[in-house]
Amino acid sequence: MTGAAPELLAAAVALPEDRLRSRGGHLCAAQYDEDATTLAAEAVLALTEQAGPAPAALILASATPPYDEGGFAQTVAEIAGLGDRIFAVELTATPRDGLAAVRLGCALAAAGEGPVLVCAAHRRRAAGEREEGDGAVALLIGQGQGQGLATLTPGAARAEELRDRWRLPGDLVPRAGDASFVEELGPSRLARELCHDAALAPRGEGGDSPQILIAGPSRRAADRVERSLGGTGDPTAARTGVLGAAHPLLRLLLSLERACLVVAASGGLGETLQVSPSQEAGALARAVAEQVAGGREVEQVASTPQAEGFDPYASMPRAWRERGQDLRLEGVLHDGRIHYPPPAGLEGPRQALPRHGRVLTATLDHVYPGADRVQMAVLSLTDGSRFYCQVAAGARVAIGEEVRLVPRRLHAGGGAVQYFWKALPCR
Amino acid sequence: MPIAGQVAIIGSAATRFGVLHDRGYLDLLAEAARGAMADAGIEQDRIEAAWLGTAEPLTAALLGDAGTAVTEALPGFAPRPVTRVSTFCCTGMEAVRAAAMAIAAGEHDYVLAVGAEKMRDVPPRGSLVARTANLTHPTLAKGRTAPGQFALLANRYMHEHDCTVEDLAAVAVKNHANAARNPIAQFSDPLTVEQVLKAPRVAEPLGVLDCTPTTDGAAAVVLTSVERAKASGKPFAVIEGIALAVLDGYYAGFYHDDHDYLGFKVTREAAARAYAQAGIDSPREQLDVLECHDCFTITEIINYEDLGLCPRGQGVELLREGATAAAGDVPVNLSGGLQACGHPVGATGVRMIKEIADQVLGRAGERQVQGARRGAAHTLGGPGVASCVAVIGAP
Repeated sequence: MTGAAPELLAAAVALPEDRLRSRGGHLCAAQYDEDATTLAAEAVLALTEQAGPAPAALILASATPPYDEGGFAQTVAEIAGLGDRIFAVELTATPRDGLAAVRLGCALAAAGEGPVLVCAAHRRRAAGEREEGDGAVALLIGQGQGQGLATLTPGAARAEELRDRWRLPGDLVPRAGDASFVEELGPSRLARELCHDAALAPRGEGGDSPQILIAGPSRRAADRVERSLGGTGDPTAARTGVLGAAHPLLRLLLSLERACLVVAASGGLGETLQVSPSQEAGALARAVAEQVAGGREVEQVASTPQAEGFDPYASMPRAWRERGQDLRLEGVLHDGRIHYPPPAGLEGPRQALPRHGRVLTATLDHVYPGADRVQMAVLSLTDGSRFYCQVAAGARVAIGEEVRLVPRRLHAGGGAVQYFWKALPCR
Repeated sequence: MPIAGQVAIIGSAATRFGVLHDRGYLDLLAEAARGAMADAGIEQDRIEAAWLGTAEPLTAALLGDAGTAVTEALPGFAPRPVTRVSTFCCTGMEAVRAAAMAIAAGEHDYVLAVGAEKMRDVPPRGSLVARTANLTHPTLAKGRTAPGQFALLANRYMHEHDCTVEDLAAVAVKNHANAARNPIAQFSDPLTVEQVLKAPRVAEPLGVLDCTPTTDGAAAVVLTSVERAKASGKPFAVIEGIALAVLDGYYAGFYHDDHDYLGFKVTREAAARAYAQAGIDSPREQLDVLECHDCFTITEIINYEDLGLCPRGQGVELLREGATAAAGDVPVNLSGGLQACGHPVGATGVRMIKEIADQVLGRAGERQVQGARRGAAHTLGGPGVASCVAVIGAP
């Protein structure tokens, strides 16, 4: 069926546990083994673990992708087990792209090509980025026949040649435009104009003024514009930092108790989305609010360890051939148990290992050349399987402790990022 | 013809073990091989074939990657067949086993088994730790180091049994004390428990002095049939049993559902087969002396159990009661073991067999166990996926 208004069917948020003290609050701080891929994958996994139809498309948005060229949507699709027939695409221009991804998702869903998984992720590039935080948000958009969490209506959009923040190839830290220029004509102006455009458009049912939510690269500027337009400001950013392309989606979820107009503007690109939530959506908003309020306050997070003497073996053919075991933990089901890693020649269907278990034993290794110190663990998974892995950066485990497996970076040796699963305590 | 009781060790030799900057891989190989032939009183021309054990040729610029290293080190040996074997830390003993099978099969009259390893032409951190960490599977074993792999057992063992870090340290103290009586050992100074515990940590709970060093060295044996050895009228030792057990794969070893991280099934398998060949059903009573694979202190305690010297979980008791000390009823690692004699991987198994042969021949010097008639040697390879056990006796 086509033509029905696209709806938000489900959503999930992945936020790192650590909340780093920052200017005027805290920000979500990922560890050195996390990037936009792992954050997006965690959000998508959290979403797909909820009951629901399998998505037909994956639209990723991130201004901080792990590859400048080459893509990461395929990696997220592999980790989440979305199947190799899925249409996967990524938007990597500016933080506005989170909302642009929703527009594309709505269009596909309206065309009957849904449901569509939209995910936006952000990973700070440098420790000096004290306004930004790390995290990801995943939304499932489709035709809910009125049973969804919210109706989504993309609105006005803008595109102008305007550089407020950008990176040239090889830049780690973004360049910033002239402060007075950005202040006068940058994203704040664009956001005001977009709100004006949206106000001219027909209102949703009931005609009440929606809550206005502004997202842009500068937390203070966005907050100021939002307040000037009658909004409440952005308290979320003080707890999570500005989550780049994921930020407008996070604010959307937190505001599901009433209708809202979400506006994202950055780099001369602007996007708006009207959201009309159902009564059931409030529970999701409250759950996400708990997630935002949670976490553990820390003074610092570990920096990427020196990799002196570390020249790991890498092979693209091997990575492709073994993508099932590496990225989805697939073993061979034979004689009632999963054999992992899959033994050559053993007949049986592929089945993923469970991703929960307890620590059978562990050690803190001081001499592994790829890290300062790395904790290695053997897990007894819930089905009795053994699993040998690193413990996620920043975490420590003890024998008997309950853990879950999370996707993480192992290294980028050989010129490509190698992802695998690490143990994280279920605290 | 079966191996058990049919193959004789008629000569053996080992180089000094240690950091031997003045000698290269081929020098060490040649010294051990010539020493063994001289000890046997056999000219090189009579050796019909050789087996070479070298596990990590990457630490020696690929020398030892093939049997041609033997023909290069022993001018005139070519074109006789030389086979290189490599089975992780079981490499040297596997070379002896393969050579013994050739004798038992009647293919050759006299053969040489030599193990050699040159590990210190690169710095310790650039040696096995870095190289194997870099070269292991990009995901399944990433983060693995050899000490880290055995530390997993140490922590599990201490969690399950009454075992402390002091018990682990006691293994190093015992073996370093033994090494003081071994002229080829890498270390000859005694240690205290305090020193072991204060040493820099490597993979917790293991510190530097819980770990075998990286070592240069070589060892060799000359084998013939027992019948031919008897006819020579010279002293010889008999291989009463020798067995290799291999589990599946390398990385798979970490993931075995039945791996309880309290011991090594592969050692129990190898020991059972070797003991059956030798007619041993009560190892503690029937073996006078043992060399076992103490790559890390925890490994020796676990080996006591896997080699049947005591029930599982009681290895620490055996250590605490002094049964495995030099004056105990079943002395273990009188050579100093891997801990203090050193561990040039491909040479270790051959050196162990030489040590037990020397014991049953009554020529182990200050380390001699009076009246020793039968002993066993044991190596363990990879993450517990290969093990070789040999029982050596007096004729």
